[in-house]
Amino acid sequence: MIPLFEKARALPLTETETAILAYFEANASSIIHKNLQDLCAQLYTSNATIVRFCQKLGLSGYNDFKYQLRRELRQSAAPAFYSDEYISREMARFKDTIAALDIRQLEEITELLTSGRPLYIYGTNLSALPARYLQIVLNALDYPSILIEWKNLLNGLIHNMHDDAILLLISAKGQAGNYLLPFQTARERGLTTILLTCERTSPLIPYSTITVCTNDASEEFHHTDVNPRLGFFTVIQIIIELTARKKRDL
Amino acid sequence: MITLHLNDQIIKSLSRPELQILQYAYENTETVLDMSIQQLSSQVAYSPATVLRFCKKLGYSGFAEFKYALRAELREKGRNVSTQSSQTFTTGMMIDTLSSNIQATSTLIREEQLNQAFHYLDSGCPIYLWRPGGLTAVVVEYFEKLLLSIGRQEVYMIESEKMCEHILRSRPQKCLLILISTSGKFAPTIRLGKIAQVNSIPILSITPYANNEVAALADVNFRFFTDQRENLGAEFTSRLPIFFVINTIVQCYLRYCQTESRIEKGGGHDPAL
Repeated sequence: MIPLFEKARALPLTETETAILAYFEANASSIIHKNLQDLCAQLYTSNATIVRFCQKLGLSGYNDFKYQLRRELRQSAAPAFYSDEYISREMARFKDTIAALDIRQLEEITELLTSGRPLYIYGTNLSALPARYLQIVLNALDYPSILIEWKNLLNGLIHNMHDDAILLLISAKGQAGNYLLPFQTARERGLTTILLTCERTSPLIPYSTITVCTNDASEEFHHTDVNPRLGFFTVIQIIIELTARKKRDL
Repeated sequence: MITLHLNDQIIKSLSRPELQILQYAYENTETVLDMSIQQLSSQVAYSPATVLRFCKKLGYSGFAEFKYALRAELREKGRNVSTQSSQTFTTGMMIDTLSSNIQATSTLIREEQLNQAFHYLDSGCPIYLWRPGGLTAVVVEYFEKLLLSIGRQEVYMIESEKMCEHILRSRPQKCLLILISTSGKFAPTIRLGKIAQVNSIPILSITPYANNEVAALADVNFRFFTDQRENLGAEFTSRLPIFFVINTIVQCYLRYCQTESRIEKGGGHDPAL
């Protein structure tokens, strides 16, 4: 049990305060994320009543109460959400991404992107965003490229691309089957393909010239893809930095 | 002990913590050269964000460049400093800067700000995202798509400044305006922020760490570290820290909602979260 609530129960409480306590106990994990105004609206009571309740517990006010409750919830390992834990996990994942990078491979990709050969960048759905990000920056650095966000356009273009064209395809997970045909065609035609994915067993890997695989975890919410693709953005940012350096050194 | 050639104005602008960091770096130059920003920050007992701000005040792009300047100064003194080939060193330096920007950005995200953001997301009010052109457009769209993907309804991305202005002026009910600025100085963004303020529409902003006009207008402001860059007018400042902030807001909200609904259902603890 939470000591803070135990302590409150031992105090002589008014009727309203008993109701507040019952509400706090029932919603402990969400209280720590709520502000005083929202709470009042839900409890049909005034700020002052809640602050007085907190002061009765020997605390300076509502914020102090939230702080204390958070600490006690954490100690009791109650299922609540703590953002700092999430952020440090996310930082660790970011460092893993960096540590796992093969810089030489990214330098090789940078050489290809800046070679002046026709360049196509493909990404659709959420992967369209890293694709567009790279395309705009390459433009800003005077390396033009063509952005493709439609699958059908890719299927058509792949037959007509110039023989020395380079195709950079960004695809997270699960969609690889859609690109098998264009990748096979690219291989037959001898085009250079670069694959950025987070699927280690992607069926596209045998057909791509260079594959970069990140540790982005595939996440779904109600069958919608919510994989944030931070690994993709990190890889792309490093390619951008390498490109910018090359541009500077010219 | 070495000293960097800093002008008086810079020295005067340093706060006491920053002076202490400088002193530590002068006295322990060789150790500092092998440290990451996290290691130094734990040594001097200030956050990585403070260390990074300190480096920027001295005029360096980040911690890596600060170390580079220290190293150069040491070399000048004729001491024996380990040298690497310039190619690998600059790549390492670049990745170091990138990581320290992200690390420092992550330390700037406060639980309180996230709670304020959750408050607006929970309220179900319409959310308007102002989408300027260029690279920031990609970032804004990332926010929009992630919000919609996690099931938040009434998220509208507005691409025209006039349309955005119209909505802010005529919106009778409660809503939220989201402004993202990589410089914090983009005039149309500031203007829309002011219009929203006049109409008492709350603003959530994501802007650089330094004081800026967009941040000053916002009710909730998330900050990030990045280095402003451009190629003859075409700007290509890294947006990676902004992607990181957006992802943190959205993923934290998703987890917060999932914890809530699990407790309501009386379900057990899900180890996947």
